[in-house]
Amino acid sequence: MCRIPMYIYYVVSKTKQIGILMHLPTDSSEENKVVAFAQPRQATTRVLSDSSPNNTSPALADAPIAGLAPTPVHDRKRSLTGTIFSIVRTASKTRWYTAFKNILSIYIGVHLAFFAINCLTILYTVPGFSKLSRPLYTLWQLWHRWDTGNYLVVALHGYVAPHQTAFFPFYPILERAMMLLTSNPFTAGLIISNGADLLVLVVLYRLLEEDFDQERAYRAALYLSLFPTALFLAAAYNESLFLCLSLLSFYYMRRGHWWLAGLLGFLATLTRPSGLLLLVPFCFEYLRQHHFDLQAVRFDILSGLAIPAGLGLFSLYCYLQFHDPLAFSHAQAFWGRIPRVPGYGIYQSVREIMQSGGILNFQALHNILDLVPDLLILLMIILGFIGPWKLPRDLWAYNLYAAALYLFLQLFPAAGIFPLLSTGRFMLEVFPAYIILAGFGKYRTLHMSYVMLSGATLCFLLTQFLLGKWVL
Amino acid sequence: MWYTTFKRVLPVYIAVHLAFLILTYLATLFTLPNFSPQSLRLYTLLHSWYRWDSGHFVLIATQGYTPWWETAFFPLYPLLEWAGSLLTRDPFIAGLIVSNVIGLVMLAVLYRLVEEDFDQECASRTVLYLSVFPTAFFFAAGYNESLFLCLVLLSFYYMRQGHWWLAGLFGFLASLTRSAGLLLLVPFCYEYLRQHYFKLEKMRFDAFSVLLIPAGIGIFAGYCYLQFHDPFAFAHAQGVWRRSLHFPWHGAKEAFTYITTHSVLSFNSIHNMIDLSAVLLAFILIVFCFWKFPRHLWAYSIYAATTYLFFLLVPSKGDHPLESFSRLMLEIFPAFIILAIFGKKQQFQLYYLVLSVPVLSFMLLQFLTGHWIV
Repeated sequence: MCRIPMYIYYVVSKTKQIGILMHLPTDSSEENKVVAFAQPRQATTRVLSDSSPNNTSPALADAPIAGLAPTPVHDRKRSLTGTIFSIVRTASKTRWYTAFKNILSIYIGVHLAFFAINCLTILYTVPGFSKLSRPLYTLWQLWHRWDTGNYLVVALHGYVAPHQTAFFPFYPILERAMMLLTSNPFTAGLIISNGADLLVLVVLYRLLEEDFDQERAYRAALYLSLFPTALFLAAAYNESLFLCLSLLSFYYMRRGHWWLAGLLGFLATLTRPSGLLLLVPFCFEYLRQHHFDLQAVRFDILSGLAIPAGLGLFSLYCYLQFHDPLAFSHAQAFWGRIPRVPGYGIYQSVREIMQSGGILNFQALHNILDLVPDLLILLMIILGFIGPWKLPRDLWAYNLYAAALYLFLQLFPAAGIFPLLSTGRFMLEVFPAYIILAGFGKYRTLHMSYVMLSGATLCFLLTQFLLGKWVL
Repeated sequence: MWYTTFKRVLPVYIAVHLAFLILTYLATLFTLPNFSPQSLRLYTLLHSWYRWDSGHFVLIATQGYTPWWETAFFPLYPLLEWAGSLLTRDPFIAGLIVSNVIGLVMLAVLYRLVEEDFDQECASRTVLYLSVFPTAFFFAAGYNESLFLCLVLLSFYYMRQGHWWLAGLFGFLASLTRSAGLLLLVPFCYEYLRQHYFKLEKMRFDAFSVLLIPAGIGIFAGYCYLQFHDPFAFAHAQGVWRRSLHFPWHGAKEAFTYITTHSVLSFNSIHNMIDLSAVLLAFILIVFCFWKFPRHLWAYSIYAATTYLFFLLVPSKGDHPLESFSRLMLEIFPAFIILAIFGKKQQFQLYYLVLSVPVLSFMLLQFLTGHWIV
C-alpha cells in the first residue's frame, strides 16, 4: 500500500525533472535500451527473485538496480529525498519504465475515450431538449452494472449463498482491503481494475518486447485495449486483475523464476478458475527450459503445485462454509452452465441465430456479439499453430496456454438461448491470441480496419453497458 | 493517376463504411428492450438513417419548395435525389447513394489536392482524419455534406491548377448546394492574383470565371423571386431556425455562459459542450493554418478562416447557439490537413484515432436512434 504514494511521487518527479524525455521518445528509448542491455543479466535475475511478487510496479521492481548505477554514495545518505531521487533517476532507465512510458499513451487514450463516452451517455438518460440534469456522481454510478454487484456483495458480506462461490474470492478480497482507503467498495473495485489494467499493458508489453519486438508488443497492447469487450478491463470486474496476474505468472515462467510464477499463478487461480490452465504453459516451459530432460528436473518444479493450490484453498473454504468442496463448480449450474464438448456452444449459438427468425432481434444480435469475438480468437489461436504466421517452437508456451484456456472457456456453455453467454468477455483472457493479431497489424490497412471496427464496437458495447442494457 | 488515388483512399472508405454498417446493425439493440422476442424487418436498418434534415431534402425532392422556408436547403442535392429517384423510385435511397458515391470521390479529390501541395503521407492521413472525425457520418447520411465538400474540393483543386473556368464551374455547383459555396470567391480571388503576381495588368479574360461562383446563388435567388417574390427567401428562412447576424464570438460566448450557469450533465450543456469544443478546435487549427502553411498555400488558410467566420456570424438564438457547428466543421477541410501534419507523430495519430473513432460511433448511434444530432 505504502508503495503507491511513492510511485506517484516517482512519476511526478520524473515529469518535472526530465520531463523533456517524455517528449522525445526516440532519444530516450535508445538511451534506455543501451542502459538496459548494459545491465548484467545475473544482477537483474538476483534482484527479481529477491523481490516480493507484488513488487511489479516499474519504479520498485528494478529500484534495487539503483546500486549498479554510478550514483554517488554520499548523495544517497544525505536525505530521504536524495535517495528517492537517485532511485527515480535510475529506475527511469529500466526497461519497465520504458514499457510503461510506451503503453501509457494507449492507456490514457482509451481511458479518455471511455470518459468521453461516459459523459455523452447521459444524453440517453435525459429526454431531448429537457432541462433535466443529472448529478455528477451519475458518471461512475453508470458503471455499477451486472456482475459488479455480485462482487460487491461478496466483498461486503462474504459468501452467504453457495451460488455466490462462482465469483472467485481474490478480487472481492482486494476490494475489501482497498475499502480501508476508499470506504466505498465500488470505488475500490474501480481503482483495482483500472490499476490492474495499466499493469496488464505494461507486463504484456514487457513480455512481448522480449519474445518478439517492440512494434508487436505495442500493437498487441493496443489491440487488447480496443477489443470490443475491453470495457470490462475498466469496469469493476475481475478480468483485468486476472489478466494481470496470469501475464505476470507467464512472464516469470518465461524468465525461469518458477516460485514467482507459481505464486502469481496461485493468485490468478484465486481470481478466476481459468488460472488453473496456467499449469499447462508452466509444465511445458519448465520442461523446455530443461531441454525436455527429466533428469534435469529440480526441486523447484514443485512450485507448479501452487497453481492448483489456489483452487484447493478456495475449495477448502467452500467445504468449511457450505460442506461442498466443489460449490464453485456446482454454482455454475445456477447460470445453467453444464460441461459440454468444446464446440457445442458455437454450434448451439449458430443454431439459435438461425432459429431466431431473422437477424434483427435481441437473440440473434447477442449471439452474434459473442460468436464473432469467439471465432476471431479461435482463428488467431489456430494461426498460432499452423500457417505462415505460426509461432516458433520455443514460444509454444503461448500457443498451448491459449489453446488450453480457449478449450476450457468453451467447456461450459450456458443453457437457453444464449449458449456463448459472456464468451466475448472471456476472450480478453486469451492474451496469446493478440500476439498473432498484432502480427497482422504490420499491414497498415488491417491495422486501421481493426482500430476502426473494434473501436466502434467497443464504443457500442460500452454505451450499452453504461445504460444497463444486457452486456455480460 | 486518378485510379491510383482511388486505390489509396478505398481502404479507409471501406473500413469506415464497414464500421457504419456494423453500428447500424447493432444500434437495433437500443430500440429492442432486453430479452424481447420481437424481430424487426431489415428495412428498419435503412430507415434508421432517415433522420432530421434528410426528411427536408426528400420533401424538396418529391414536392419542390412548397413552404417558403424550405429554401434554407439549397437545390442541387434535392435535384440529384430527384434525378436518382427516377432509377430507384425512393428519393431517400437515391440520396444515400448520391452521398456515399460522392463521398468516395470527395476523399479521392482531397487526397489528390493534398498530395500535390503537401505529400503522400500527409494526404492519406488527411483522408483518414476527415473520415473518422466525430461528425463524419454525415458524409454517409442523406445530407448534402459530401456533395458540397466534394464540389468545394474540386473547385479548389482546379484553382490551384490554374484552370479558372473549371474552378468557376465547380464553384457554381457548390454555391447551388450550400450558401457557404459563395465563400469560394475569397480563395479564388487570392489564388488568381497570386498566380498573376498580384499585378492587375496581368489579369486576363478568364478572371471573369469568378462570376460563376455567385451565379449559383443568383440563379437560386431568381427562383426564389419567381416562386415566393422574395429573392432572399433562403436567407430569411434562417430566421425559422432563429439564426441571426451577430459578432463571431457571440455564439461561443453564449454557449460558454450556458455551460457555466447550468448543470453540466444535462442535455443542453452536453450539446453546447460538443459544439463549443468543435469551435475551439477549429479556431486552434485555423491559427495553425496561417502559421504552418507556406505563403503560396495561403488560399487554404484564407478559405478556412472565411468559412469559420461565416458559420459563427449566424449563431442561433436559444439554448443551442452553436447548433450544427460540429457538422459544419467538416467543411473546413484545411483544418484536417493541419491535423494530418500533426499526425506525423505516432502518439498524435494514436490519440486522434482512439478518441475520434469512439466519439464518431457514439454520435452515429445517437443519430440512428433518433436523438438530436444535427
